[in-house]
Amino acid sequence: MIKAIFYSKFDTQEGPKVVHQVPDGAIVPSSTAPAQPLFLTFSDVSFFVIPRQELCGNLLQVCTNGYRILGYPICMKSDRYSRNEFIFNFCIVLAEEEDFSQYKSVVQKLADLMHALEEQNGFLSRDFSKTGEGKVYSLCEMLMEDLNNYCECMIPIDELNTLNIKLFPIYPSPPPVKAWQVPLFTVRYQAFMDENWDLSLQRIVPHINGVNSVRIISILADTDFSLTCRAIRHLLYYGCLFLLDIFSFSAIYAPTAQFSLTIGSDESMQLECARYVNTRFAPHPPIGPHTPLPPQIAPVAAATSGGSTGGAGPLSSPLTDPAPSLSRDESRFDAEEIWPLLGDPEEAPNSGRKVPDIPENNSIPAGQGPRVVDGVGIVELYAALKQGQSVKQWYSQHNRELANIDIRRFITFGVIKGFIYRVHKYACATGQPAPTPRSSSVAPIPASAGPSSRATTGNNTPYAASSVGEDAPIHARRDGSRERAASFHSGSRGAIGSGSAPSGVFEDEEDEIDDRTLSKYLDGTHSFDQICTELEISERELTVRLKRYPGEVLILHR
Amino acid sequence: MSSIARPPDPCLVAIILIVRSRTGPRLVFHYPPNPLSENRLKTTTKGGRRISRTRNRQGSKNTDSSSSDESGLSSDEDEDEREPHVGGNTVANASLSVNLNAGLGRRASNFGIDSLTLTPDAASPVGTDSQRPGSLGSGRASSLRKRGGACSDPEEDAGSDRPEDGATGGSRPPWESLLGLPGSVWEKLLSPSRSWHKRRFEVGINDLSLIGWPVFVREDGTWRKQRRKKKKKPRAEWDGGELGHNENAEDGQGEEDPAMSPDLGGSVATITELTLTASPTEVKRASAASGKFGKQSDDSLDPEDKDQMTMFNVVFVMDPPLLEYSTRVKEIYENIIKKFAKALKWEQARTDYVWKESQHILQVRRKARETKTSVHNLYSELINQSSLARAMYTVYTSISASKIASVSLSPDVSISLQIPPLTSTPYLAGPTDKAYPGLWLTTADSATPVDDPGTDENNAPHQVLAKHFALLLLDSEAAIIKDVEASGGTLAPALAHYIRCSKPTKSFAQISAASGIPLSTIQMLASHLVYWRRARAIPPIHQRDTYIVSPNCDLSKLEIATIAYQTTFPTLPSLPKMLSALSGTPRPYGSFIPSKDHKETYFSILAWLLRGGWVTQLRTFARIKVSPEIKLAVEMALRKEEVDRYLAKGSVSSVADNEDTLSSSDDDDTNSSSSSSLASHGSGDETPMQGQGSRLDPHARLRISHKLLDRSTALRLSSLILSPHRASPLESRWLDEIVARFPDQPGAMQGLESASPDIAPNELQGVLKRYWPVFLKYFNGYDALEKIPVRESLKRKLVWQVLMRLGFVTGPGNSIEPDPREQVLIGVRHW
Repeated sequence: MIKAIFYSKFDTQEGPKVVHQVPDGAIVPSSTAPAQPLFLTFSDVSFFVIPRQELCGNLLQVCTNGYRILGYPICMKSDRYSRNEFIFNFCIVLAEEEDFSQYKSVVQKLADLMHALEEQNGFLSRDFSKTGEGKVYSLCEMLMEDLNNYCECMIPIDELNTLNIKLFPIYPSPPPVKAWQVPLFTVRYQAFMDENWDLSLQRIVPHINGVNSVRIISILADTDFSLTCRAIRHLLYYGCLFLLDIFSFSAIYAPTAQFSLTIGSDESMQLECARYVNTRFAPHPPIGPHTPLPPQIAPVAAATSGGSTGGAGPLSSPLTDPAPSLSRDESRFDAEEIWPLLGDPEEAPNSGRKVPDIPENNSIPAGQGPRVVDGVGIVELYAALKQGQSVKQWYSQHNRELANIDIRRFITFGVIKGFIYRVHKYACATGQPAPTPRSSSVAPIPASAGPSSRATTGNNTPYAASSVGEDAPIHARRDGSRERAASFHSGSRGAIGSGSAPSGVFEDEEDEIDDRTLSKYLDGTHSFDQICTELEISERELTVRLKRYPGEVLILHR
Repeated sequence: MSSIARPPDPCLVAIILIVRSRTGPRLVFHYPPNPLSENRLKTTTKGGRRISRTRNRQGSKNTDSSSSDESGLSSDEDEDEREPHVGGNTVANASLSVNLNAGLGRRASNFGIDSLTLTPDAASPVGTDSQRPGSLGSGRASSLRKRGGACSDPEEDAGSDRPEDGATGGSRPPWESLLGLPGSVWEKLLSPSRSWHKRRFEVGINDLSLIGWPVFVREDGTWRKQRRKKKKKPRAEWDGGELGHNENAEDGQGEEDPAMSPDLGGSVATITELTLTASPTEVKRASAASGKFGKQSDDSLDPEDKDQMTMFNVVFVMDPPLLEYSTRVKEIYENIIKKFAKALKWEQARTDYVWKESQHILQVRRKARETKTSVHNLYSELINQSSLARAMYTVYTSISASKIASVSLSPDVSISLQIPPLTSTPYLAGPTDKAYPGLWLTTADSATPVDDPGTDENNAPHQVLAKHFALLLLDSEAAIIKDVEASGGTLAPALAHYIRCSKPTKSFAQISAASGIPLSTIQMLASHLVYWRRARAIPPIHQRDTYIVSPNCDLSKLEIATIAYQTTFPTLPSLPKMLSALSGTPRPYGSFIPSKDHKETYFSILAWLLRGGWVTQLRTFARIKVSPEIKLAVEMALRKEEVDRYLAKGSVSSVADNEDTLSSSDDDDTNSSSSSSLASHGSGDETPMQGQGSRLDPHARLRISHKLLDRSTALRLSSLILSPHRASPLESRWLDEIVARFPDQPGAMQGLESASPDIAPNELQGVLKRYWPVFLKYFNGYDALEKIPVRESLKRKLVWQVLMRLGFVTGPGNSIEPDPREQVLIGVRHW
């Protein structure tokens, strides 16, 4: 909020002098203004307003009396002026603590324009109007009013010149975009995209869906990778995008310290979540069997899904997927319907917590009706995510509650709101010789399970438990489906459907990544997402490949 | 994203000392000699340099494919990438240039994305790089530099009344100008009017911000108020350098400041030498007489020496990023500028320090001008000879490197300054946030509801450390003790003794009990060590607690850290192994300790890991879930009370009366009933509603059913009790109901119970009821349950048994069969 604008110049007789001020009597006493306290003492700041020549042409500011004065003094030399120079300054007065960043350019632009006007026809030096009158005064007045009320102004000055100013907020510059990040729109881009947009941006935008990684987007859009990154960064700058991680069922998510503050106490966020994840509200019916789960994983659907849905995307949500915060109006749904229904109890024989039946003698109708996952249920589901437990394992423990919940959206929602985070996996080669591989086929990565001489022996050493850390039961039972899931979710295949073999057979003879290439990634700073994306392999392939790496490779989760 | 607290970033460009005397303002000294010389060079290459540089860096160092060829986009990351200081006319000596670089390594402050920055002047022909000039010397400001360069303007020199200006005319030695402007401009600009006396003086030139705290001489010619009448011993205004963090006093209150704890104030102040027993004026006279410096004989010949200083202003030049402007300025102003200027004021009042030093500096400069000394030689001479110049040099080099500046103005007076660093954050940076890897990720040191139920205010930075914390030394014990003893001071023996007693596994209270040091002393010493970056307050480490690899740990340091770790713990599993182990499924730390003999060693490993931010404690938080059944039962009970009350009054009672009772119970603020003996309303008591309802008159029945309908939606859903220690009346009823439902005796209540025979010892049932009221206040989602055993002095095992009954399934070895009536907690684990 601009408190005042004043125009000051160096008067050859009087020295620094305030010619016009808005509001009247703000800077110097005025006979026309009602008696009021001045904002500041002009003599205290006159050196900054009309400084020595050397400082002219610079943006100057000074704080006094709780106000911040921004000015851009201009010194013009010409023999048409007495003493051959004309020094003037249009200053903006703000509250000292107010953010002034966006006004810097206003002052600068105003000074530039006035400089030009003065050069053209002596706009300022020939303004002999009394204080509070004339063109220059009304310009200041309009400028202040328009900027304060509309954050922009368009003030015609003469037939050639117009003062156009708009206040723009300044945002922090987003960090570089990484190939393995997954952008998701926070807005409906269709609403504001037009044909004047940058061409690469126009090509990229349709592929941004919260599923495709940046790498995939650049391939799908057939745009240069670095241009893709730039375009996405631009969208990020304006807050049109979130960046997510590559979702997969083998990924690990865990709560952050924001948990209690957000989903844990905010009932409207719980509602918002329910609306976003409830498969009932999915904009388009999912392809294939009506299940929110990847067919490979849903136990019931596993038999029926077959190969037809394998590549089409196991996620039921459609490809255009606006972020939750801007979802549709909620009035359409009855408050009760928002909550996702529980699955049938038969489906969940291992569901740990059974809600006890309400005693029969209780006749209140409220206890009946469809069983739903209510707000607290959602909180419980999120709270059950933890380190060392993949989404898959989490799902298998809660499949009844998750029966009508879109898992990917559920996870995405938490990541966007910042109350859960992705636990990334890193590989670190220690330079030690690889321990002898175990004979057991269940052991995930022998390298990481290397028994330490110090640690207790046996399968249950801390190190063994810390390795890739997938519980055997699930994988042992559905090994084949896991591979397919893995090959899908990697999000990093060279191209979608470019012959990635879902059968899970790994061709040792071709496409082999040599150890030197691989070793560059094994310093503990490269996440699996990154390695997979850049080497264009699936996580499973990477895991298998790491097994063959000569030397010990430890897996860190972070 | 802006919610993420940022660690202090000094953004310091230079420090300037201006004094004013009768002859006018003088720029006495500035450090570094040639600030932002990097940027001055930049104008010649016009931004191209920076971009190409960025690219080089990414090519060489960056491994993420995305940005490898993403040219100019990463704008503000080329810190530490600046060329080694190529001072145009200055070649500083080695140590100087290192320090210069430390200060210069900073972003060029352009915000937004190059061409996309839609600023109003986007249409103006200025190149993208110069939209936000980085400094005086860049971009648009080049015109200024031109003028500044042509500074042998006769008019200007005439305007200055300095004797040496007249002497040498146009050929000005390089140190006379600063940032492209002649000294005379700075003198005018930075010597404000008296209205800024002891107030923040802030001036901005383009992206540079100049902050000072000018001090003016008093009307009576002294620098300090006379306090003759106060016989009480006057204290140093800045309350001692080392304990400076206790100083919360506002301007001018220094003397009265009761910040130091009275019992320790005298003994710990490191400036006890200064503890004045005489009145200030006496001291002033005394030391003015005795405090002669060798060079003063020169000055006495100078005609200037009768001149008196009327003002001095130490101005700090900063170039804060636009978006962080106010925080950066505030940090340095509060922590450095004001304290430094106050110390100078103190010394000025005592020994005329600033003025004498200024005259000395000017003298040396004058000589240097005559002998055409190089800038480098001049500066090393000044820093050697003048303690004030050295002090400014120290402040600049230390603060711009985010270190602690230990400044001694005279043998008697020294002060330590720092911008307190950020030691921990609860926020994990997202992909678009600026991350500070390695920072301790925790909520352990934020204030929580249990800490101070009265105030909801966020953590006051240096509140007294709670007694349940432990001290984690950030360096080896021996190294710290050595430093402490080297620094001397009266605090040293106490500190050394305490450091030897301290253990990260023991809380302050425990150490106090074991060592006999009073708790308040421990807390004071500990917060001293914490403030001066020697230690960190942590929850005591314990083998039953769980630690995970911090999501914020700095893996890029893994290689170096592995070597350091190796030398510290040569025979133990390597750092990657340890991290790998800790990053699996979270388990209590004790399970990683192979044997009892290893316990101590493994605790030191854990301390080492915590110190480096490699791991963080995984803590448990919980809230109470109120299931629909509980809600229904309470609702029923409430209705029953209504009905009873209604019946007691007789069915003839007026409708208005009825309405009254009903509505009051609607709000549930009938306090008497809320927490009353609900225990009697065991679920067994409950009578089916129809039976009673039929006895009501139709009118009342209608009302009741309305009331139920209104609530029916909420009744069907569970809810959480957000702050049980401040439960609403209805929530209190729910809590009572929950407690009432805890099974008293195994197998007594319902069929469900008998179906699952209770394995736990019989007494545990009682335990649950006994500890529920104690634990209740921790179930607010913000207080870690790990605090309970420490604070309530209970056995961890017992606490966790109770918590397990309440719904925690922490591990596979959970032997207790859960009873759904007890499973009322929803727990979540994070740092």
